[in-house]
Amino acid sequence: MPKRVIVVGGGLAGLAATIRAAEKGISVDLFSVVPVKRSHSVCAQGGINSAKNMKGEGDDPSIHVTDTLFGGEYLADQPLVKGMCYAGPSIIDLLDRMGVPFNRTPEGHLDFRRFGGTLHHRTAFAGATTGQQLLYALDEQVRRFEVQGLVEKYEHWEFLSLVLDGKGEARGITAMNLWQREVRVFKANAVILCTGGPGLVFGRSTNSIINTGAAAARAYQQGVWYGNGEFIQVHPTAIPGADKLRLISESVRGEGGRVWVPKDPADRRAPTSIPEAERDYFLERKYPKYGNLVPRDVATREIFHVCTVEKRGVEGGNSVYLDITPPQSKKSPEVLEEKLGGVLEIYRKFVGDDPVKTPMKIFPGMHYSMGGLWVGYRDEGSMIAQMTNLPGVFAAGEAEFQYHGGNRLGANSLLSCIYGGMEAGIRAADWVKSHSDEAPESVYTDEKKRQDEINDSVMKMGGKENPYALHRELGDWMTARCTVVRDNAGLDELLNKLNELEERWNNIDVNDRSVSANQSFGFTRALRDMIILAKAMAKGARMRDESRGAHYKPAFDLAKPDGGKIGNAHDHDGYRAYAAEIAAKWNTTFKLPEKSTTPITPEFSAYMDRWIEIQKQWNRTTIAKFIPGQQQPEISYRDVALTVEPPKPRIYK
Amino acid sequence: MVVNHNWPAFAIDALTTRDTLHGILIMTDTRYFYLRRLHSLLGVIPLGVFLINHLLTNSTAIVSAEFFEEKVKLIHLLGPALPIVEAVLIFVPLALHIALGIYIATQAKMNTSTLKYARNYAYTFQRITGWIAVVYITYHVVHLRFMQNMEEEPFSITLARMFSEGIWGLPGVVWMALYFIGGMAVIFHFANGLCTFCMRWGITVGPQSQRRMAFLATGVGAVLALMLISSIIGFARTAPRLSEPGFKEKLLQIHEKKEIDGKTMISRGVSTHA
Amino acid sequence: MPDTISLKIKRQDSPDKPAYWETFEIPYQPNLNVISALMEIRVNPVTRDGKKTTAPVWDAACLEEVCGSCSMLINGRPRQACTALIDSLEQPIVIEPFSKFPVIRDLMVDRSRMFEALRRVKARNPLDGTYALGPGALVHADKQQEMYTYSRCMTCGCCLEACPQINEHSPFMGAAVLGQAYLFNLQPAGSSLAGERLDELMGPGGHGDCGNAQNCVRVCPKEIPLTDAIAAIGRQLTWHSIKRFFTDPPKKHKEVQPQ
Repeated sequence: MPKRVIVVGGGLAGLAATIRAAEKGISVDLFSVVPVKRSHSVCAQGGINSAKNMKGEGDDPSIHVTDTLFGGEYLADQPLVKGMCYAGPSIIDLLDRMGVPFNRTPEGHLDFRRFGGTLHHRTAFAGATTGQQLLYALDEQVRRFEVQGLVEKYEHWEFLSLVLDGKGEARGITAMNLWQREVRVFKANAVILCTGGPGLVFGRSTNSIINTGAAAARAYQQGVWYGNGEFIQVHPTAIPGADKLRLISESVRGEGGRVWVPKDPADRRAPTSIPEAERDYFLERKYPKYGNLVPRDVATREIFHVCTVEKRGVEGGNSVYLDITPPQSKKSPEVLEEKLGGVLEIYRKFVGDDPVKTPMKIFPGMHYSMGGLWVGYRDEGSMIAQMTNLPGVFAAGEAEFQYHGGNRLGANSLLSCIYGGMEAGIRAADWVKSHSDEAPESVYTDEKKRQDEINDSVMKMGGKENPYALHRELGDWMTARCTVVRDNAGLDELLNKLNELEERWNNIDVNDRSVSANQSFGFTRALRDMIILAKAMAKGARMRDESRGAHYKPAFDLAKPDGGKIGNAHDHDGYRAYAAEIAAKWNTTFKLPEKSTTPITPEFSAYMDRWIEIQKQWNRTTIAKFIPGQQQPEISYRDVALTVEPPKPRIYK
Repeated sequence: MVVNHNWPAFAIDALTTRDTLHGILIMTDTRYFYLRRLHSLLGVIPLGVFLINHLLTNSTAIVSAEFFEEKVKLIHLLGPALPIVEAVLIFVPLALHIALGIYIATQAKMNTSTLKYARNYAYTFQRITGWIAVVYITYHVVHLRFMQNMEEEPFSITLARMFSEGIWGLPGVVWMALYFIGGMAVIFHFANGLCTFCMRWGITVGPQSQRRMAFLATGVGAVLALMLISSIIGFARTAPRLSEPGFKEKLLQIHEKKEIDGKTMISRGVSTHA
Repeated sequence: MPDTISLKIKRQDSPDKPAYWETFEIPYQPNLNVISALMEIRVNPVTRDGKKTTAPVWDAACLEEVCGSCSMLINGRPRQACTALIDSLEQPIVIEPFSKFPVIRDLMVDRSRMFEALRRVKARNPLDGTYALGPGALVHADKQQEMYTYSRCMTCGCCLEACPQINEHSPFMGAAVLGQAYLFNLQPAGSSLAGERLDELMGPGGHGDCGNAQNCVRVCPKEIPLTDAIAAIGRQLTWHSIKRFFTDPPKKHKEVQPQ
């Protein structure tokens, strides 16, 4: 069997994997539903993290590791996070050599800016379109291998399924040409899934509308575990649109932007004509100290609460005002333009209003899935880094669950995509070198037959439901019950609803019988996979009775002791014992700071006791397994690999 | 050949010409580049230079018929070499410019109806004026270069008659209009061609330098247009003198004179007499 | 304020079928863009005359004007549908697929010729490999800014659609690729292929086919100074062609082969 790797997805992870495999001389078939330059990676704005320490701040990859783990509430397997952060500087160098037009210092070095979750200037950036620039740079390198005949691109092809042999090992994929609806089998002994996030499961999100999550859902239904599905990052400030949610940078609040709603929810006046006394600056009211600059998750939760629970959003809808008009921000329009030009431009272009003259209308938007296909974190025994539980099936990028734990730090996603993709590419290349046996032809013909049958049955669907209307319902339910604030009653309702949607899916009217670029058909097929993936997320959220990172369940939230009663975790004996326990389990040693002499308060001690209990129960990876014939996935938990440092309570002092 | 039926009939005919041209010129590889650049260059040198010279000569008609005929005689300094010089510097470059120009013009799919921008209009007019120029220059050369017998009738008289009583059944005012339109088409084609020449060769890079060039070219065009108008008015004003006794002979004599300003003239008229 | 939004959409069931028009009406909502309106139509694909039809097919991905997918002719103008706000458009809004590319279906066209053109002009930086070789060359901030300007090209095809030189009679590759050729001639690593790139631009479909109508720069959604790049490439070609005439052809650049 010729040594060949299949990469599904042409975003940053997919291209990075392709380049690394091709560089090893392995032929790669690269599949993408859109021309690779249109992948969702283009949307990343802010930048890419790497502890290059170019600003004389003493930054170091080890600090990057800690920031990443701490920001994600220690839910990430640590070996790969460490690998990623230490590879960061060389990845930036590589991108630099590839010609990414990173912003420069006067001397001509790479410039770095600050981002959330760290105290260092660690984020390299190319204007406000870093993702686009990185994607194009990688695309150009892939083009080099294409010219050499090592890479074959299949653009406008959709992944339908893995071809697995009797042992569950990867033997190739089936894919469908979106222009002619032709299903074909492609053979390879390693498949890398870099199929991105599941934004469309939430209806409207900050994701591209190609991010259905269907590909990951298909692999999941074929036996790949889905990890930490309940961890969904919601960004506090996005522009709500009828078609999607567009991100508005946090820097707007940094420059004095204030969040408010009219005190009277029925108030329909233009925002500029609502007098000061009739406005409710609810963030400033509830958090007098931090005001509008409360941490992201808090801001998200508050805005969400005002709109969905209190129903006090602007004009009764789901939005609040983000006011940067000069009297509010105390800055002149010129200064605003200089500091926020790019962000203001997006608002002007898409909303048509000028944010300097009238307040912006914003609402939190589903942004990123920390969860995804489960992959291994180191090469040990049967585990291979970036390989899923199915031998020969790899995953990288947002499609998999590594690196970010319970919450992703800004500008870490581009790094994880490239690093994960490159790791997957190398390992898949190695895999096909040692796994080159031929599978019986029936493995392929059977899978193709199965896919043709599914397609035929979907094409015949002539019920009553409209697939796009059904999708809106799915999105509304997922957004309302499985994003910012979660409670078990709501999640139970959601799970019932998802069962109902799955049932109603059978009653869809596909309406369009055309072979040519039939989107209604393609979407209908993907919609079922989205509903099934939604269940893995909802069920994971239902089962996790705690608050961690982006997963917030007020009923199980451990209240943090107030400022005066916060001590150092390492002064707590129970914590030191807990850390030692972890070290022993992972066959390592941790260097904790020396105990300080000041005694800790009883409140803090009680908090720590409870916190350790929670860690022991819940600092574990959620694994959702699809069981054919069952309505709901089977949820189990795996220990998080804590090999670098012990968890610490996530309290920002 | 895919023929677009939105095209005017003459353009459809020309499409076949384009394929033939493609065959003859073998526009492949870098030859394509050199031929396109050749077309661009020929428009300025020698054709543009000739155009300026030609209009400058003609504009002297506004002074007097005699003055004009003397200026015409200057070009005949070349004597027997004249046809060769004409061929090398005018007819061959013109033929090449037209051939390549037809190739280029038939590639265009104009869209000023939806994209109403100045440069887009200029692009469209460049092609329209090109077609007008081909027709006009062909007529002009056939009539005044090949049909004209200078020994029998000087240009001033032909043109004066043409612009007053008219010839070939067309009244004078129509001829004046045709010469004005034809001349203006050529002038626009040249002036805009100067701008695109500078863009194509990378002389003007950036909107500001291109705008400066556009102003300059407009100036050149305006001066040439004034020359054109002065030529037409000049010839038209000669008309009353047609009835002047001995006028024709007087003009013919200018061409027979062997010396002007002490230089020996070998005009065509003289050489054939000898 | 109107209570409905009316959209007249040019449709075509497959590449070999004739085009036809369908008009749709959806309830008015403020701040909609063309994409939202199309989404609204597919939730209930019924024409204004009450005829049940199929959902219109179109390309879209990021909806933030950075992926280049949703190019269409909207009221005759080539642009991205995501930034085409209904409130600023005259109704009925006439939506057509790009006319300079083969139609796949309805508003979806095949723009692969643009990607092929990128391959043809070697729009890439020849790297030795992706292993650690230290940082790249120092780049002056001004030069970085210039590179960034061109690097924002999203291959959307608006410049090709607007170009009168792009049609079935012409091999012209279009402004986008000239912009990219200029970008890669600027790149520290990419400039090593500048000669080959310029050679390619001397052939049919290259720089010579630009007609200087300059519509490209007018319709570019990212306001990329394409005509500057075209003129600058023209300058490079002027010197290159002279050099080429008086010098023997350069040795073929050798890129590193995979291990």
